[in-house]
Order: sequence, then structure tokens, then C-alpha cells
Amino acid sequence: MWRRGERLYALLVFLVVALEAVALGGLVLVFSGRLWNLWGYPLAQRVLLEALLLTGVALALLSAYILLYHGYTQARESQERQAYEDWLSRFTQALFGEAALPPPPWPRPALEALLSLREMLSGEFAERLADWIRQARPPWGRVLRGRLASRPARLEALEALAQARLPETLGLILPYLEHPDPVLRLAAARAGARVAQGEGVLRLAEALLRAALPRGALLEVLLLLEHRAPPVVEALLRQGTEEERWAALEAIGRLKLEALAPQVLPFLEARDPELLAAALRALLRLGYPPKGYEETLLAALKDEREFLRVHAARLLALLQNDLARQALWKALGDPSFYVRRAAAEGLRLLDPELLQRAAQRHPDPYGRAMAEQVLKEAA
Amino acid sequence: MRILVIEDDPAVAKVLEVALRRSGHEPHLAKDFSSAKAHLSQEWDAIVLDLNLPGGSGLELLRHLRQELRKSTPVLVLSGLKQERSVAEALALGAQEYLTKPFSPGELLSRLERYVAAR
Repeated sequence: MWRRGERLYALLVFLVVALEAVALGGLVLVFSGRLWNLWGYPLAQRVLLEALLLTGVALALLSAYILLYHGYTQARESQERQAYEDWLSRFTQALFGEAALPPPPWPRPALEALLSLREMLSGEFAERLADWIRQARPPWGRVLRGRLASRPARLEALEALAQARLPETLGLILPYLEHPDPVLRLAAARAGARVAQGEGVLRLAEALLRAALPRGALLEVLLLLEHRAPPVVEALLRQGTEEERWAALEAIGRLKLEALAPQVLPFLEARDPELLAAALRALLRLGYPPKGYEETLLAALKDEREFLRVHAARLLALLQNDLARQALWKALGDPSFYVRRAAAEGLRLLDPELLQRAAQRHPDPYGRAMAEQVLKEAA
Repeated sequence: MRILVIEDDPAVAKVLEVALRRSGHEPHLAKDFSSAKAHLSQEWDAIVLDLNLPGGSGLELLRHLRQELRKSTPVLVLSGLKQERSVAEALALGAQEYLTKPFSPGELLSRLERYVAAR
């Protein structure tokens, strides 16, 4: 709940509010008494001056805190930045054999420098950096296993593990995929995607199925997995909820997982329009013609939902047959601009001569205009 | 070779500086959009370009180099952006190569040297 330094600020605000409450309470009491002639004017004057003094003290305290806070943090940040850059230089020189590795223990900025280098480099250098990080005996395991660590400390530890990419730390991360705090669950999923290797990817897939992440977050995790994504995608397609299957289908297209294209085809018959649209998009991105699903595509092209008609029109061009030519010709007369556009672009790829004819002879004037526009742009 | 390194991340900049210097090259670092733009008018043997820079985009610098300054200096993009669109845009604007982070300094060096030799 608390960030660093917030406790002191909260205490100060409480003190200021308390001082003001005392001052206002005193004023209310004395001036009410004056209304009934219970107290004399000198007392009211004294209380008024004391209230002003208390307000002055409260404002001075608050201003001093703010000024000191900014001055201190600026100085501290510049010191830390300098230390970070010094360590960056020392580690880079050690990495290239220009200087000896400084012996551990290393301070916090050194660990940050190591993590930045590890995150940026691949190959032999990255392996050497991973060994150095292990030598540093970082505190992240202690923080994540402990009961008393704050949420920011846990988030920092998860982020550091993601940067370090040490496969043996996956066991620390996976339990957080079932944490009640959704922010920690998301951070753990991101970290898990960066860390998981080999058999660890299957463990991550099982944990993701229990994590109930929103579909956008899950998609981000799958994209982070890159070439390691296929086993996770397959598990989500097999056992996931509709949201999880949506993320898996999106990932197949965006990561160009061509080997999984046949597993997308059955989703062309999905009842959920979002799932169907994700399957259409995935096949289009893969350039995979949905042979055997022509009827389904034609049905999607007649659907009342515009986004389904657009995706269907785009995908039809991949079929490369007369059925696609006829359907796209007809779709040029669709009331939606976007469907007409998709149909014209599809025809340009499939049969430019037919698009030429459409620009001259299509019965729908908007279809003719669209065909002409797409031809003009292509030229 | 005189190489302009346009990179705001101190870790990447440091690694590139040491790696290029050790291979006998002369690296020069620009950390933000405006200083990089000012340096582009000078003569360089090659440029290593990051895309997300303080003050502007690396793609804008590439466009400036190719279309306004009309220079054919080899440009190797080194970016954390892995989207197909960024890659296509950088290559269409005339970048010779698009490497993503994490990267291997050895691979980057050998590609740079190859493009400069082929010039």
C-alpha cells in the first residue's frame, strides 16, 4: 500500500491537520463564548493570534518538507545515477576483458547495472552476466518468500527476476500467478514469460491456466514468450476459457506460429464472434488459406456484424479460386466502406483484371468507386 | 571507421562504445533526438540507430538522413521494438539492417563491417 517515503508524508499531513483542528476548535469555542459574553475580548484576541501562529507553523512544516524532499531526492537520484554509470563502466570493461571483475558484495546500483546489461545482451556475454548475478546473491528470493514484504518490494523483485532471466528462479515466480492481488499476478506472468525455458514453459502454461488473467494481459505474456510460446498456446487452445483461447489465437497470428495454423481452423465455427474474428485474423496473418471452410467464410461474409464481414473478405482472397472471386465481387456492393475496401484489396491480390472490370462495370456505384480507388493507390 | 551511435540507454551505449573501440573503430555517442539530428550532417562511415529517443523518433532521423540530407551512410537499427510494422518501416526508409535487443555485440560489429565494406 505504501511507497517509500509516503509514511513520513502521511505523518506530516496528519500533524498539520491536527494543528489546524486545534486552531479552528479554539477559535470556534472562544468566538461562540464571545457571542454570549462568556469571555473577554483579550482572550479572543490571544486565541486568534495563537491560531494564526499554529497555521503558520503547519504551513512552514509542509513547505519545508516539500522543499527538503525535492532537494534530497534530486541529490540522491544524481548520486545513484552516477554510481549506476560507474558500475556499468566497470562491468562492461570486465565483460570485454579490459579490467578485472570487482569482487562481490556489490551495492544496489551495481546490481541494477548488471540487470540492465543482462537485459540488453544475448549470447556468451549474457551467460557470463547471469553467472555474475548469481554471485551477487540477490535478495529477491527472500523478498518473494517472506510474509512481511510490501507490494512495491515484491513488484521490484519480480521485475528484477524478469530482467535477470535465470531459469532456476521460475519456482519463485509461479506461486505468484495465484496471488489474490491482480497487479502481482500480472507482474509474475510477465516475469515467468521472460524466465521460463524448456520444461519450465509447460509449468508456466499450467500456472497461466489457473491465473485468470484478462485476455490483453495474457496476450502480452504470450508475445513475450516469442519462439517459446507454442506449448503454452496449445495448452490454452485445449483447456482455456474463451478469453484465453482468444489470446492464444491472436498470438498465433502475431508470432507467425505457422505450425499451429491447422489448430486455428476449428475456431472458424466458433459461436463467439470475438473468437471467430481472432481465428480469421490469425489465418490472414499466417497467409493460411482455410480450405474446407469455404461455407463458413461465406456465412461470415453475410454476418450482420461489420467486423466479421471485413475479416472474412480479407481472408477469402487467400482461397485463390472462383468461389472467392465471386464472393469478393459481390462484397464490393456491401453497405460498409470497410468491407468494400477489404473486398477490393482482396481482388487486387487475387485477380487484378477482375478488379479493373469492377472499376468499370460493377453494378454498385460505391463498389466501382472503391475498385477504382484501390487500383489508383496500387499504381 | 567513424561510427555515430544514436542511443539513449546508458547500458547499450556503454557496451557499443567499448565493443567498437576495442575493434579499432571510433565511436561517437548522441543521446537524444536533437543532438543526433545535428550530428547527422557530418560524415560518418556507419550509424547505429535506436528508435525510441528522448525528443523524437529514430525513424524521423532516418527519413531526414535519406530524404533531406540524401546520404547513403549504412544505418543499422538497434531497437527493442519487435513489431513487424517498425521493421518494415525502418527498412523501407533505407536502413540496411534491423537488430532487436537483446543483441550480440559481435554480430552487430560483423554486420556493420560488412555493410561498410560493401559500400
